[in-house]
Amino acid sequence: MIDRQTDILIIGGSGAGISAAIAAVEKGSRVTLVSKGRIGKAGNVQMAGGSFSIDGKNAKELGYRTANDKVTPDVVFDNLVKEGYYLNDQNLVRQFVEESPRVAYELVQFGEKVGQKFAFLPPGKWFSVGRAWAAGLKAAAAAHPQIDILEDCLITHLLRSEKRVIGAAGYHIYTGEEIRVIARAVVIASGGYQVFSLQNTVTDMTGDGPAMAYRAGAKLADMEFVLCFPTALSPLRLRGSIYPYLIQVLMGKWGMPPVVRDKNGREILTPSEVYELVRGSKMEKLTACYYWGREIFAGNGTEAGGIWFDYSSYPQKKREEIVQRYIDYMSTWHRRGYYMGDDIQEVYRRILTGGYLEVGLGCEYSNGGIVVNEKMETGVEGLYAAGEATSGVFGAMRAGDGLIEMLVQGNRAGISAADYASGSEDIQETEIQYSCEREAMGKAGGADDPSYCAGTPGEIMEQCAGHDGISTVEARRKLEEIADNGFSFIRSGERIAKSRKELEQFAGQILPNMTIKEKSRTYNLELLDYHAVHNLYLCLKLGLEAADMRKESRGSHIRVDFPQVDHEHFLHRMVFGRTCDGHSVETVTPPAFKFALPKGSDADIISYLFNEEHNYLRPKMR
Amino acid sequence: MEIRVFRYLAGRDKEPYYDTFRVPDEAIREATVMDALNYISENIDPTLAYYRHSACNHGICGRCVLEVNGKPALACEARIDSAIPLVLKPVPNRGVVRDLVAVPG
Ligand SMILES: Cc1cc2nc3c(=O)[nH]c(=O)nc-3n(C[C@H](O)[C@H](O)[C@H](O)COP(=O)(O)OP(=O)(O)OC[C@H]3O[C@@H](n4cnc5c(N)ncnc54)[C@H](O)[C@@H]3O)c2cc1C
Ligand code: FES
Repeated sequence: MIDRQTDILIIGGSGAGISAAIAAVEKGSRVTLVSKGRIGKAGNVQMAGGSFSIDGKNAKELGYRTANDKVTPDVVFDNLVKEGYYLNDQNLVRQFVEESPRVAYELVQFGEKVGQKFAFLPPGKWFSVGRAWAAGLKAAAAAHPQIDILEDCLITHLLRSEKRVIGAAGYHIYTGEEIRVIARAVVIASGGYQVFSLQNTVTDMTGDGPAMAYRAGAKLADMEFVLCFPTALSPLRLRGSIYPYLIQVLMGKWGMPPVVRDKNGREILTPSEVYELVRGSKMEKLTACYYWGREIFAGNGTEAGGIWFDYSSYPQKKREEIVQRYIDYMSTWHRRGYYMGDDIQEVYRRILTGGYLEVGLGCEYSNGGIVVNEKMETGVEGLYAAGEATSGVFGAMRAGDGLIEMLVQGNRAGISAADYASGSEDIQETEIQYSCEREAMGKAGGADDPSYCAGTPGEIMEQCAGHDGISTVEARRKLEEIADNGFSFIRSGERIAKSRKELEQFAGQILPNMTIKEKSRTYNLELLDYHAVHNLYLCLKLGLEAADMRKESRGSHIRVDFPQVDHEHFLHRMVFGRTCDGHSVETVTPPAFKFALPKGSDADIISYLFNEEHNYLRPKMR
Repeated sequence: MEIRVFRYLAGRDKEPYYDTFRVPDEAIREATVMDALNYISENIDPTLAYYRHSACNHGICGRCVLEVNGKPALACEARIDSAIPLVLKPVPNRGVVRDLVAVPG
């Protein structure tokens, strides 16, 4: 058994986790960081294909001459809240805006030092590639060798005494060896949840952090909001690649957006005034979900559930010129003809010869997660959270950068956890006893998921040995099907209800009977999926419940049966907390300190953007 | 098509052996070795071990390396041609953890 005692345990080894670890060791704390994947190769950072931004005023002060200093921190704040459909926690937004210049610039410097390239673009954006941010983070971690790092290890549950969280436990994925880390404070930085079959995320996005925090008494909110964006559907080898998003945005910027067609070749139009408004911003993802998604939802999508990109109406010469420009531009980061490791020459050939590209909408980001305040406290003593595992900063639509959220919040969580740990009482042997001997809260699934036991590998395998159901691996696919049907980019009451019913059956019949056939703990994927299935189940269950209750549309929660943005009745967050017999749902009005929350309603999520009362500033940001 | 896969767990298996899995051509048309392994895991044999716990699937992390027909390759990038028989092994010289998973390099 790997047994450690430390000041601060960090769960997650990507941007939020590394930022927290660095902040905490710089304050003199002892830190153990446990990551499911490997530093520099884990989490969604490496998947990123776009950019991260700060306000133009600070960018100018940092010496970037092309920065647009009219895009002040205030303008960025306004946009984040308005594009978040006012559901954001404005305190978290303020922190995001104020602290982003320093943390973003630091990461760029670490990245540049190890030879990575970042292209600065106005107003205050660095365009690059996931690998570059990941390499920067790895270099930053390496510069702090006092961080004790355990890689390829899965944390399964938090340890808590009656009063506070005192550490966590899990196992080594390769050896199955048990791990226990006793710590004065724990930071969850394990990223989001991805519960759909079309995956553009790394495979470690299984909602572990939100689920284990919830079991230990933390609250989860905004679980109904996920953000989808253009993702390749075919051929199979490219499925999940986000090259379609990049060509849509970049070639679009150069005057060649795709003509989007449904399964019958009929054009799916985005009104030009809408395109003009959102062009080049993250809101382009939302309008893709809205205009294309509704057609897919109505049955007009391709067999694989997507739409077609068609470039054939552009003159041949223009296509050649734009494709060449795109390849040249991207060659700073990618081998010519490739996007990431994928050979996409076929894509260029199709654009040039008038062939179609099949594009779906894949989930990139989960807005929902652990409720935190500006100190990244969760409300459970000793427990902190940061990055995509949290909720609040982006409200109903992630219009800002996930990479910035992870850096700002990771840093803040490290500082807060270090402050807390330095003043907190020593962890008593009796607390450890309590946590290990009793079915401590945090370990058991509770009434939401009674069959779950985040026990040791041995306990779980023993429990599953007597079962006669399907494998955990197959169960995960079933869960994805349920999510695809009712929880996707476009929703209706009917489909949500159907998925909830199927999920109930899943919980009754499949979850308690899942099997693990392999008897060895050594690199056991069934054991890994046991946790993935239960954690994703919990996220989906709460997500569907919130989606059902939210009888309106707001941000990336788009309902065909309730298109209006209903500020009067739904301008609140749905906050879930575990109780003895299941969970409670509270509706909480998001804290607003800068401007008052709107009243009345907007006809739909698009008219909202044009409502002058909201004084939406995005176009002024360019 | 038929896919031959190296199986081995030190301490349990006296020596390595191969399993042959029959995967329908249409399930792996224009697919990668990773797609085929996922198919086997989901539909035929969930006990098969191959790198998957923190996988990018797009040749970014470089961690899914194995031996495809005698040559090292990334599972998520190596393309399948159903006309050519497929033999999968862990990369040599690193030690086998289990089946296709080698000791991390
Ligand atoms: C395809 C794609 C493109 C994107 N592009 C951009 C972009 O251009 N700009 C932008 O700002 N954002 C982008 N994002 C979003 C951004 O990548 C994420 O929001 C960000 O990576 C979140 O950082 P994080 O540190 O919170 O979590 P992650 O980066 O996801 O890292 C999570 C970490 O936790 C570990 N972990 C998970 N579970 C456990 C467990 N149980 N025990 C131990 N460790 C665990 C993982 O191994 C990993 O180390 C993109 C996302 C995707 C999927
Ligand atoms: S899974 Fe990352 S390179 Fe193959």
